[in-house]
Amino acid sequence: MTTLVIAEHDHGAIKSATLNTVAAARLLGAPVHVLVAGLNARGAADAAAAIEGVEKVLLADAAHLGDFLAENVSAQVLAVADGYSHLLFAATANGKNVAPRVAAKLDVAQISEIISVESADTFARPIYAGNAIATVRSADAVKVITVRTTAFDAAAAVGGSALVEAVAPAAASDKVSFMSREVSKNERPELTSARTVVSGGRGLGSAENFKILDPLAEKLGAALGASRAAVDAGYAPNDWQVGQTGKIVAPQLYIAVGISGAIQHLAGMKDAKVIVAINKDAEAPIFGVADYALAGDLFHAVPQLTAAL
Amino acid sequence: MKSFDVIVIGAGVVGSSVAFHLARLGAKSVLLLDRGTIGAGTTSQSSGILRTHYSVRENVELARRSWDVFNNFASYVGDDDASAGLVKCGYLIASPEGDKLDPLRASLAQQVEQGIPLEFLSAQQATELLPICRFDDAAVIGYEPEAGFADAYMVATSFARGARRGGVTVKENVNVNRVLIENGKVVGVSTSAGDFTCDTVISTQNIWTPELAAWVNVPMPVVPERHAVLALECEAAPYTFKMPVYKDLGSPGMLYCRSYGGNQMLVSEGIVGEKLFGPEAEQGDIPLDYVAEVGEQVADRFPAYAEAGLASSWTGVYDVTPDWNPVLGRVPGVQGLIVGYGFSGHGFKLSPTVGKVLAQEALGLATDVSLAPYAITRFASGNLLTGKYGLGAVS
Amino acid sequence: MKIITAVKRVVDYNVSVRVKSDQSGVDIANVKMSMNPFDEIAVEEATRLREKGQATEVIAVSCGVLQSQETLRTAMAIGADRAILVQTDAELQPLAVAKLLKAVVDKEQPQLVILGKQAIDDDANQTGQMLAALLDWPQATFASKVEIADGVAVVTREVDGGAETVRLTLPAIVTTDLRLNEPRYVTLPNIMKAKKKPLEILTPEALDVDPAPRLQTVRVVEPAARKAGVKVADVAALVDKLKNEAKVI
Repeated sequence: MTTLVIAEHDHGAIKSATLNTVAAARLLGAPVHVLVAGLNARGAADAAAAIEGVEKVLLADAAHLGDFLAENVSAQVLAVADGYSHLLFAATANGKNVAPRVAAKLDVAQISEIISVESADTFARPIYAGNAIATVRSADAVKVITVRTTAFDAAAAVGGSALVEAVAPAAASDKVSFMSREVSKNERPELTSARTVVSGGRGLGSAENFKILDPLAEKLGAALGASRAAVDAGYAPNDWQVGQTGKIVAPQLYIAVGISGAIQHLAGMKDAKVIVAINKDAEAPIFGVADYALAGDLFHAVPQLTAAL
Repeated sequence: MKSFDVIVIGAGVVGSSVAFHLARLGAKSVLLLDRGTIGAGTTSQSSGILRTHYSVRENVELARRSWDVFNNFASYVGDDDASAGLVKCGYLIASPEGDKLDPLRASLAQQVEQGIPLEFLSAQQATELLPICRFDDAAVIGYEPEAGFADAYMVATSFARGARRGGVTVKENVNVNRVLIENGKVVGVSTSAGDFTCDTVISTQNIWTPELAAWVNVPMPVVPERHAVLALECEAAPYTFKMPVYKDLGSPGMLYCRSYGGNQMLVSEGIVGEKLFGPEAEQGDIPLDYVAEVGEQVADRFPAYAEAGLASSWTGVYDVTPDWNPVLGRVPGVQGLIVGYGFSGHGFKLSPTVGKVLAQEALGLATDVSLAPYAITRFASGNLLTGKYGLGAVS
Repeated sequence: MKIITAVKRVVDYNVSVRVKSDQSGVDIANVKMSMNPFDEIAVEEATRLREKGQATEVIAVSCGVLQSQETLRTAMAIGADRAILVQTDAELQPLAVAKLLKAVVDKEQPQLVILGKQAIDDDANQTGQMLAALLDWPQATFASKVEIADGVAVVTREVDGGAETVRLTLPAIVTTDLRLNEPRYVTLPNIMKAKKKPLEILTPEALDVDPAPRLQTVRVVEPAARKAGVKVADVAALVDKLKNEAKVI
């Protein structure tokens, strides 16, 4: 058994996601190699070679690998896949784009977003938006896996001393070409995929008052949400509604302002990693799910919080 | 504290109202229990309609007193920040020529006699209130200005909050295993959080009442029925907060509709829904054929809605009794057991007064409205409270 | 140009699923089912392309139980012209679905296949990419914008930290992300019209595909419960906790 980790990198360096993926790889108990497929990516390859636990680094360097197009990266992975029992990708946009393509070409299943390794062929992964955890076993000759990086502590970035071996670049696809890239400007993110959500409830009292959440959302780069009661009262538009009959969100941080915590609202946000509740009523149901509860006047607390960030 | 005077099982809007009123009426030691959180059962599914229109006069009494509470909610519960989420848009009910006309006339006449503010409108006047609707075939149109809709969940939590402030102990996420009875008398309840003693239990368990029936070995007829609610969007004809709730007795499904969010229409059929095999408040499937069927009825009344889009839909469950009216009062053969269940889809609008009269009964006080017509014995004796409209929540 | 859009019947996103006590899976008996939300976006996008005159026909395809007909009817109510159901009660995993879709693609010869990026039940995010691999077609996943012209698709995709634009020669695979469009509400007249649109039922056997799952489910359990929260006295305390304890800001 040998594991190949397909590095997440930006050519000059590796990204931290690779460290978490290597950590997961090491749990398989087999030697760990890393593939760096990029353009002028020696820097990334050297960094990969320094990761604790990595035995070998394969470097495929070519212009057509410069933009991580799935067709080209997957062809590269397939070109070196022979002999590897496990192919691991970080569950990033890149990893998720490429891994299934590789798996289908190898006619094997792909296992998405593993959060733990039980054995070399058995892994746990979230389903139903994390409302259930499934442990699955693969009998395929090659296991193609994407790794949820937040579930594995990063391997040390130093201490390793692997050799870097150049591999021939695989042929480029003539059916796809890269046109351009835009780095995120700080516009309001989409509610259901936002990292942070600031949500307002009936406690805000009016559509006008709802605007006090804008500077806070701005500071946090957050999307704005609302409870059904607030939407029903006309304080916020329908498409801001979080909860049953609205949107389901699972951000890193959910700040509920003036929201009592009706069960239908909770259903929409209970999978947030961290929940903050700001409400005048210390017994509001929202405090039952909040990690941090601030009982107080939101009209003071929200501006204070905005200023403190 | 393990010992209480009164234990209330079920913290939906009715149970919370009971607990609130027990404290208000001076009960010192009250426990309110729910296997989930307050209002997490069928309360949160309520469409929140408030009206006093009923063909059963006792219901009118319960509804009118309850309306006064909703209309003055913050001061009634003694909390400036409390809100029922009330939209006081009035309630319009109309029937064409047909079998609903006599019951409508009779019910309206009875309401007038009971002193309910009520107007009889011409098609023209009705159109002024609800311009998106057609009234050309209406034989009678009744309008109650003191009506509208509110938020059942907010009311439940406000009552619960007031109950707590009044000294009630509220325990959520506690499962009741059974009611403890000795020699035909209630002595307490056994729960997942231990046993509690008391000599009075008030059960407001809605579709879960069969559990109580099994604990005390008394038949309590109730059937869970699931109803679908649709939210329709029609940009050409928004249903605004100023437009009244509307009950369409001309439609086969006896539709009711109201504003949702100030622009969409919330609509549901008033008649018999889907009987469930067991108590189950989860969302159910709403087939497209059903949507089309209700949509046709809506379009018939609201012409612009022929092109409406289905914005969202959900289901709610009613606890339906044989006569579509609640069972209120003491349970014969089990001393100390009082029930309030079977609201059959119209419980929220009665919840403030139901809570008060059940609390009064428990404390040995005279009840504001007589419980006798709602006795559980009526099913055996045949004195059903069947409304003039037949089956359905306008009883 | 023909477009195929693949749709999946899944547990409605409003439903809180319950894990079975025997750990064999999630209890979905009698639970509300709906079209996967990302697939609604796919059908909407295909319909818009047809309305713009860039496609001649939109075919909705689903693989699974017979009740998926209802899901296909919704697709036709949004705008698909006809539908194909590959009917099976077998557990279907992405590789099998990709193979079934490839068989349908081989029959129908579309220039574009649009799928949702992932299904909200298994959260796999694989089928579109696998289909692309089996067909040897280019792919653009997590699309937030799609433009078709002269045998080429120019697609903007959501990637970590921003977006990128790629150019694919048709035929190609696109998977949808949330920002691609806001699906229209199905209208009452279109629900009725959808009933009359053609719906063809095929089987995996007829398509010569073995749908057997590769991954065996060992157990399904509930996630760890949320830990109880703490009260914070004031905004300063809250900010401190968020920065130093929770590390979310």
